Amino acid sequence: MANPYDGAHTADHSHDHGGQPATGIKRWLFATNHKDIGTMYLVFSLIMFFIGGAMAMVIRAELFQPGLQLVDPAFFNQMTTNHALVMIFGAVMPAFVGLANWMIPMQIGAPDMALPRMNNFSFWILPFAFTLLLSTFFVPGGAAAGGWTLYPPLSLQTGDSFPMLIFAIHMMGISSIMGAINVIVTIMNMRAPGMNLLKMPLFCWSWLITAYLLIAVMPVLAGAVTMLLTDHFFKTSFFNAAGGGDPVMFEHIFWFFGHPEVYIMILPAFGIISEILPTFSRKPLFGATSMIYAIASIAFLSFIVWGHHMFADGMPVAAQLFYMMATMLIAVPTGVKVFNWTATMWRGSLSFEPPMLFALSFLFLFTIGGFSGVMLAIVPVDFQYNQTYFVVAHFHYVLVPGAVFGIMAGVYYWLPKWTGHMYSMGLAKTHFWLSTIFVNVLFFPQHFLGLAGMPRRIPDYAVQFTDWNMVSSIGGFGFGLSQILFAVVVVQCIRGGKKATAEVWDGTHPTGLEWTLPSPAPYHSFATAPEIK
Amino acid sequence: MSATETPIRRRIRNGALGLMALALSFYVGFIALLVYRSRH
Repeated sequence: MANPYDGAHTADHSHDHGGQPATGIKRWLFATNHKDIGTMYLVFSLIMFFIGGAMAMVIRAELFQPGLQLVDPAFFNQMTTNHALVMIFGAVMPAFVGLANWMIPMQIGAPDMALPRMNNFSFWILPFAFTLLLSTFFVPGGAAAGGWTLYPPLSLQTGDSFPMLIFAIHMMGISSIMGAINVIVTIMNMRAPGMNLLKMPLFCWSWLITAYLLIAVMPVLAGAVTMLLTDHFFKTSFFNAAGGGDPVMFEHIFWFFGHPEVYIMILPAFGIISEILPTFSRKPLFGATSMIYAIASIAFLSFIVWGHHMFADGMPVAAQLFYMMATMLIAVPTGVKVFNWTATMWRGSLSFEPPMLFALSFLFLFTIGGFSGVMLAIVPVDFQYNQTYFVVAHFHYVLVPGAVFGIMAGVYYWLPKWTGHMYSMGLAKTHFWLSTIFVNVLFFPQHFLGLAGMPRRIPDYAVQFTDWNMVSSIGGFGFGLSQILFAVVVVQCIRGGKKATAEVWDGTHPTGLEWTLPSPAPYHSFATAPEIK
Repeated sequence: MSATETPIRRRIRNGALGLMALALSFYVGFIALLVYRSRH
């Protein structure tokens, strides 16, 4: 392993004011420090989480009762489409990149990310991309309303906002690819001497694999939307049946991106949970090597299961069987992970601080999302559940108590290391209990609605679906409001509080190089190489 | 390559360029595949 302290990085900080942060706006505009960029990613992600959340509130308010109450159907469709785009590309993915920026250099004993200027570009593209995306609400014809999957021919009927949407998606993709390149070259080249790959923390492993997924699939999405653009403006017929094209081909290409994208949003959460459970169980992670193989297997399988999103399109029985079997196969490495996490806690000396509570909630609720995923993988069953609220319940269980709780667990775990202060445990636990209760009130009834036949992406519904929609909406408002507590805890922790020790979670003896740094972590992590035993 | 470039800086640069080329080839490759498919 090359020594990363050997001139890899010193030149990149020649403008860094003697190792101290610049003052004022310049610190953020021209940031090359991994912690500053990580902070910007996390703040951006939180803002997007609230914007996407506000759209979800509009959706749940409209669905509180049957009939059309608050918004017209076209605007409702714009809400569902943009809620998904904002939450996926604006909230969840940037949050994980923010955590990667903060933690990867600290966990591998590196002074910073390998490509700090590219890191700056990849962040600053995002505010422009999302300003463009959100401004589509104000152009004639309104924002995109054909679903985040952008299926043609429906998406080609989008108004003047169509090229803005496509350009915004391209910018998000470029940002993600640059972030992924940075993660890979940092991990492959900047590890402290003596830290071989198998000694690397699980969070870094999960991000290394995620970064390869990003590089493989984000260009595919970019290619697909470029072809949509040429179909719309340059008279090509890639997906236009009238011109000899094939709209179903778009679905294939989209889901070749879209299914690995699901794992891009959950694998880093797996890494975070694999860091937290051992700390608060006061035991090493059970089967750490098998965890790495499980993540790699899930990543590989994610490339060969995209057809399960398209069963109802019609496809040969052999293809249906292949996609069904391959999808079910994912349950094996996922099961390995769930059992390993459980075995890590077995006979451990458990304590239930907020990160552990969120990790436990993740474990139970993500597994519910996994089970409904296996149900949906069964072809004849999928024919029944396709386009119903059962699908909405399934992927929200995976993405909210899965990915979002994973992010919150990570923030609560590392926040004292970042700020140097402990946060209010009482408020954080209140946030946890309200979130966990309301997330179930919000999404569990949607299983019933889907099984009863309520279609997704509609502003109105038959009266027999009223009761569970009311319950779900109450859960939605409760969940949304309780997230304000999260912002309060974070802001309070940044402003002050009890001093955090270097170990932060006293008595747990967490492993990992980040805990050898003082709290708050110095502006430049590891000015000298740490010793890896 | 400049004379002052260290081996690790070279590896970082080459790694980043290689990954960027991989991403670009996926982008162009998928479009090329569909152009080819539409003509055959």
